Amino acid sequence: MTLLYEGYEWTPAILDKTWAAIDYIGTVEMGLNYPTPQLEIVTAEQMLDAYSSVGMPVMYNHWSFGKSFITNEKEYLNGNQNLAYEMVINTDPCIAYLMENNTMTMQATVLAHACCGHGSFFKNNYLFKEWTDPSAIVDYLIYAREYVARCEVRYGAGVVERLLDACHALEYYGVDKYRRPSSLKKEVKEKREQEWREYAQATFDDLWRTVPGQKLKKESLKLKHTIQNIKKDPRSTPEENILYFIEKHSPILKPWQKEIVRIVRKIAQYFYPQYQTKLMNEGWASFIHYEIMNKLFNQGLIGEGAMLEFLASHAGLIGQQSYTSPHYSGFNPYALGFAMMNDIKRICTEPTTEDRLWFPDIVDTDYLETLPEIISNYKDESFVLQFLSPKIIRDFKLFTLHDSEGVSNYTVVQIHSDDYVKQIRQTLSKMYNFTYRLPQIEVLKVDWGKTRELTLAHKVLDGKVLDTEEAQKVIKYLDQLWGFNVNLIDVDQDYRPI
Amino acid sequence: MTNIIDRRQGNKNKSAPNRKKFIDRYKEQIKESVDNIATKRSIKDVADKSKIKLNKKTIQEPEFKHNPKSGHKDIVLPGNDRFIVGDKPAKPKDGSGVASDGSPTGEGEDDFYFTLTKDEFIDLYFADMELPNFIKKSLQNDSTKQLRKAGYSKEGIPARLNIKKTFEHAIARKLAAKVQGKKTRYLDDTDIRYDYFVKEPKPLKKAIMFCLMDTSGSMEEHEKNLAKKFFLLLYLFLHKEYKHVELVFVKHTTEAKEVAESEFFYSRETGGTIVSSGLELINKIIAERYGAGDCNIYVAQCSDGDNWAKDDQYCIELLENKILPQVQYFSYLQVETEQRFASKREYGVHDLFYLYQQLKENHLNFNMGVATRDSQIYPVLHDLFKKGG
Repeated sequence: MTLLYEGYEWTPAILDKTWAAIDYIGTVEMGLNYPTPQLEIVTAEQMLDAYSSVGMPVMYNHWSFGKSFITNEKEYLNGNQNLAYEMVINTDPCIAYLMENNTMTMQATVLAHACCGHGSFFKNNYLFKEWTDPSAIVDYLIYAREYVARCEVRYGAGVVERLLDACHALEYYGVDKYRRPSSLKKEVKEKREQEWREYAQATFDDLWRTVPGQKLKKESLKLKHTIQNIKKDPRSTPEENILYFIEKHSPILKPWQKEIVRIVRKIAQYFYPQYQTKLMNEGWASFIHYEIMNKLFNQGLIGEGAMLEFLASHAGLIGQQSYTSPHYSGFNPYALGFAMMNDIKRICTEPTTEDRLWFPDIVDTDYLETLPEIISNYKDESFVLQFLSPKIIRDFKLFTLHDSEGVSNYTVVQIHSDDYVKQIRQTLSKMYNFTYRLPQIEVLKVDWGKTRELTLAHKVLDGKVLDTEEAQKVIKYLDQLWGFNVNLIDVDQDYRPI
Repeated sequence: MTNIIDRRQGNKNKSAPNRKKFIDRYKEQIKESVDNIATKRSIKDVADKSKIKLNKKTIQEPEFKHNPKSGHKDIVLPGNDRFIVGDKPAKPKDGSGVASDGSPTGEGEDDFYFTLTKDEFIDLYFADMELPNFIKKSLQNDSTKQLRKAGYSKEGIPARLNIKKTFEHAIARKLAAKVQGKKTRYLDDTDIRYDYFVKEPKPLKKAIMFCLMDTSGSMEEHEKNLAKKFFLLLYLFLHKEYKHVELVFVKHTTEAKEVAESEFFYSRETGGTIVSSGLELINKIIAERYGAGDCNIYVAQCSDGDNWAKDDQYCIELLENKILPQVQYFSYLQVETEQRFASKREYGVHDLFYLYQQLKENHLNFNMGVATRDSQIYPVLHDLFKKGG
C-alpha cells in the first residue's frame, strides 16, 4: 500500500483520498453508521468564531458570545485549548471544521474524530434521535438570527439584549425533559367549555339570588373559577420548563418577545442531549479516531512520522490531572471516556476473571457490535453506573470525599479497592446527573385570581440551598419576563415548603 | 468526491458584531480604563496594544446555582495517593471546594483581561469629541452633486439639443441615401441628438489643520512637552475623524517657517517671540493654497503666552480681519507651569491669554484654554471641541 501523504502539507486532493480511506475503514471494516460529512476549511479565527457561538455555523448575535470569543481566543493563543478536537456539530450533513494551519495528520485525526466518531454518536444515540433534528437545525438558526436582528432594528438593540440576557439566565430551565402530552385540540377545548356553560345554565336557579350572603357568593365564585380554570389548562403547574411556562402564560410579554423566548428554549432543547452525553461522546470519538489511525498505520497508509505525531497529540488530549495538581479541573471527559471505551473493548475481547464477574453480558462479544449498542442506549449517568469497571477505578485511583455543611474536614468514604466499586460507581454516576448538578427549580403556581404572583419552588436536595445573591439576580430577570411579582421558595421533594 | 468547502475567503470576522456588543455594553468601565491608560502613557504610544481589565463580577451572567458551602455531597476524585477510608483531610481555608458543582463556566482569576485594537482604543478615547462648526460644507453630509458631460443621448429636452451632432447624423444619412440612389429627408427624428450629463458627487471636502507653535526661548522644556502632547493628541483625533485631513505645521520665533512634522516637534530653537509672524504665514498659506473656499480650515495655536508687546495689536488685527473670517475654528492653548500662570494673573501681565479674551467674546469660532500639567491637556481639548461648541 502506498502512503496517502507524506510530510505535513495538505491539499484538497489528499483530503479527499484520505477521507475515502478513513470512510472505508469506518463503514466497511468497523461497520459504523454516520451521516455524510461536509468538510469545511477554515482559518483559526473562523474556528474561534464558531466555537464561541455555541459551535454552530450560524447563531444570533449577543454580547456574551463576544465575551466568550475573547476568552477562547486567549486560551487558544496560550496553547491551552485543543480547538481542533472540540468542535462538535450535530448537523446533517455532519460538519467537520478543518483548520488551515493543521498538519495533514491532524486533519486525518479530525476527520476520524468528528465525522466517524461524533457523527455516528449523534446519529445513533437515543437522546439525540429523540430530541434533535440535525437536518433542520441550521435553517432554524438562520431564521433565529434574522428574527433577532429584525427585532433589534424594530424595537431597539438594548431592549432585545435585555430580553436575551433574561432568557440566557434561564437557559438550563428551558428544556423539556419528557415529551409533553399533546395539547387539547381546539375543538375539544371548545366542546368542554360549551358543556360547562350548559351545566351552569341547567343548574341555574334564580332562587339563589334571593338567598342572603355567603352561600350565593360561594357558588358564584366557584363557577367563576371553574370557567376561568378551563381557560388555563389545569395540567400547567407544576412546570419544570420555566421558559416554556413564561412563553405560554406571561401576562406582559408581547408576541415578538414570546417568539424570542421560544427561540432560546428551542436552541437550549437542541443542546440538551449534549450536556448529558459529553463523557460518552468524547470518549467514543477519541476511541474511534484512535482505532482508525492505528488501522491506517497498520495498513501502511500513513507513515511512522505521522503516527508519532498523532500519538503525541492524542496523549495530550486524554491526560488527566490528579486532584493534587493545581491545574485540576474535574474529570477530563476525553480521558475518562476514552479509558472506559477502551476498557469495554478489552472486556469484550480479552476478559479477565474479574471482568467475567462484573460484566457477564458483554464478555466474549464482538466489541464492534457491543460498543455501538452501548453508545446508542445510554447517557453519561447510566453509562457510568453500568460500565465503570474495577480496573478503571484502580487505574484512575478514584476515591470519594464526603463534604458536609459546617464540618471543617472532609471524610474519605470510598477508595479504589474492591469493596467500594459499586459505591464509587453510584457516586460518580450521580455527578453526571443533572438533577444533582443543577438546582431543581420549577414553576409551582401562579395566583391567577388576585396578585398574579409567580411562585417558583426550589426542591432542596441533600440540604443544598441556593446561592442567594445569584438567585436574586435571576429573579430580577424573571420579574422582567413575568411582569408581576416573582417569588422563590424552598420546598422538599413533595413540594412542601421548608 | 467528498464535499469540501473552502470558507477561508468568506465570512471573516463573524464575531465582530458580538465583540462590538460586548464593548458597547461595558463602554463605561472600558472607557475609564482607556482614560487611565492614556494619561499615564506618552501620547505617541497611546494607542498601542492596551490591555483592559474588567472585574469578572461585572461581566458575569447570573444563573441559579447552589451555595457550595451548604448541604452535603459526595465527590469522586482521581489520583488517590494517601487516603484510606475514614481519613479526614482538612478543607481548604478559602472556602473553595476541591470540586465545584460542575458549573459550565470555568472559574479563574478575579479579573477579565482583553486587548483593544488601535481603532477601538481611539474610538473610545475620543468618544465625546467632535470637530465643531460645520457651517459651510459638512464633511459627512455632502449632498451636493455636480453634472458631468457624458456624451450624447437620443432622448432629452430641447434645451440640451446638440445641433451640431444632429446635423452630422443628418448629413451622414443623406450621403448614404445618395449612394443607394434613394431620396431622403433633410432632417429626420432619428438624427436628433441631445447632450447627456451624469450626476456625480462632488469630491469630499477636505479639512485642513494648521498647527502653530511658539518655539522661542521663552518656551522651556516643560512647555514644549505640553505643546507636543497637545498637537499629538489633536493629530490622532483628526486622523480618526476624517480620512482626508491635511496638516500644516508652522513654527515661529521671531520669524515663521512651515516645516515637516518631525522638525515641528523635535527641532531646537532660541530667540524672541513675534506671534504675528506665524499668523502672517498662515494667512499667506491659506491665500496661496486653500483660497478656493472649498476646504474647512482649522487652526490650533500653542504657546506660553509671551509676545513682543508691540506686536499685540497687529496680532489682533490679523486675526480679526484676515484669519478668523476664513477659518472654521481657531483654538488656542496656553502651556506653562502653574506658578507662572498664577503669577502672571496676579501681576496683570498682558500675555496672549489676556489678549485673546476679547476675541473669545466677539467671535463664535474662537476658543481658548490653558494647561499647566499633562493631565490637563485632554480635558482642555475636550472642551475646545465639545459637540456643537
